[in-house]
Amino acid sequence: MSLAAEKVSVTLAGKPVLSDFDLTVAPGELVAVIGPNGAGKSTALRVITGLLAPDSGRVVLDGTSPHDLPRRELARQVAYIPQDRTVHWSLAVNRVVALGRLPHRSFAAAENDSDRTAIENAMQRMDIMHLAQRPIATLSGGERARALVARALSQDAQYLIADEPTAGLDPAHTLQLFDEFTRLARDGRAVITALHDLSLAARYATRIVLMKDGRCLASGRADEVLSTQNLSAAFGITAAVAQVQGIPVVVPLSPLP
Amino acid sequence: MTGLRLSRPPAVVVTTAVVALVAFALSLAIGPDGFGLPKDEAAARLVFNEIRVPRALLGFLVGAALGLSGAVLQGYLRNALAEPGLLGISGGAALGAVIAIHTGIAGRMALSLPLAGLAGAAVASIAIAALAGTGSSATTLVLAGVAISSVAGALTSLALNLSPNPFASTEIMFWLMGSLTDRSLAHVWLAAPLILVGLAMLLTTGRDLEALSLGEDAAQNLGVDPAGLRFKVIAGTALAVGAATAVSGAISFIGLIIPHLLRPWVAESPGRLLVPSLFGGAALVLMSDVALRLFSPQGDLRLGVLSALLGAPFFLRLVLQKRGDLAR
Repeated sequence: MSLAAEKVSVTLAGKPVLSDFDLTVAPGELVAVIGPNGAGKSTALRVITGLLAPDSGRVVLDGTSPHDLPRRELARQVAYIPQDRTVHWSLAVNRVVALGRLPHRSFAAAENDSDRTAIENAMQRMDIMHLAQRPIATLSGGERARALVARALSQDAQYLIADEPTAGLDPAHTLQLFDEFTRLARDGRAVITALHDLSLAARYATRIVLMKDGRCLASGRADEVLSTQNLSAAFGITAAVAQVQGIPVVVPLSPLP
Repeated sequence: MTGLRLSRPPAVVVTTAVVALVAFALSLAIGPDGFGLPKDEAAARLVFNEIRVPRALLGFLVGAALGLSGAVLQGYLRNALAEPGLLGISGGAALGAVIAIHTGIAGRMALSLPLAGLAGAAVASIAIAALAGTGSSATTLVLAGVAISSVAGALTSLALNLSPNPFASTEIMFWLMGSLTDRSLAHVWLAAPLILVGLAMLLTTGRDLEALSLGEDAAQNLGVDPAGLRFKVIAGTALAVGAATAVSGAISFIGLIIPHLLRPWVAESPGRLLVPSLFGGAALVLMSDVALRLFSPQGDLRLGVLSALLGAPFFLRLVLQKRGDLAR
């Protein structure tokens, strides 16, 4: 069992965005995809989610192509949290979370008890029960982000693909979110997340994929990937990697001249 | 868990349905001479069967088509200012009918006017499918619709400009204002099957529109087939609005107002808005038509004019509100 993008290349508007890029996640893993702006992280996640067909290479979901699966079946396997957090109508928060149950309901079927349990569960885990009836337009950016993560959690998929889910979250909810991702991985699910917080990647990811210019620069455990050489090559910074109370932290020091 | 109310009773569906049925009954009961039917039994039967029934049925169907397609298009384009005319299909239908009047076919052959309207709607629908059918973004569809609307509008103006005599141009002007007067059961038979199929297609989009609240990527990840949804939106609107415009002329604003009025009742849910918008559109067209009969028994005030007069202030408020939202 695994979800993998194999040697995928994508060109968008004439510009190569991914070149021979590999990304794999297996049950139990929490993979962090890091890299500078424009490295191709979001495109890589869209490809592995099946939203964007690669120009070459292929995506393999448990041995088959996701494009061969019925759409709703694929939606029950892979949940995706886009970076764009626009919600076009000001739906109540619990209605937004309930959208994650759509792939589980047959046409015109009403919500059943297992749907309701999943929705409530997802809201509890993202600490938004007290916001259940609020119109989503009235929420703060971080609260909205949690509601949208809860939507994906209620989808109850084997693979969760999250594009910068921590942007705008306060420290407590950031830790809560990654504890949740870790719990999912321990339960035999798999998570891929694009991140800019290198300390968070170092602390929580079972594997880190470092991208630059549409290619994989390094992949492996945090201590292998987050070397000062790799960080300067990928981000153009000098950085210090240290431990605080046994937790790895990465401190960017200065941009390279 | 009392704080977690996940399903609302469809009170808004029941309410709008009841209002639409009452409006339908009023439309059957009220004529230019007020409440009731002529005293003479034969005349009463004639008036009821040949005038009131077709008019009420068409009012219901046309209103349902405009209200529902407005709600679907607003949900699909995720824009509260979208309306059925946006795709250029009603513009095409109007152009077809205007050509029939201009060339004089309309006066010589029964039903040629709605048939020409249908042909115009079909041409516009094919054009929009060809222009925007394969593109995946909503913007392409809007741009294609604007292009087709302007072509149809320009050609309609040209027909008016070159009309052979003042009577033809008056007739064109009146037709463009929209009306349900002097329609027969033949009009109903012509339009009803197309409108009903269109309504059925549009009603199946509810779930997909819900998912689309989160954007195109998230919707696709929730199992929405973008190409299939686009087909249902374009074909459903083409059938329902094309046929409605072909028999009734251009009735503006209904498709814009109704979804907007009802949206707060369904907590903004684009899927739950559909059925109430169908009934709400039917109710508004039927009631406007009844009001016309009461206040303008000579038939000199047109349905499209009343609906536009009704809609314009509302539209203005919508614009002001949007401006307020953006300024904040």
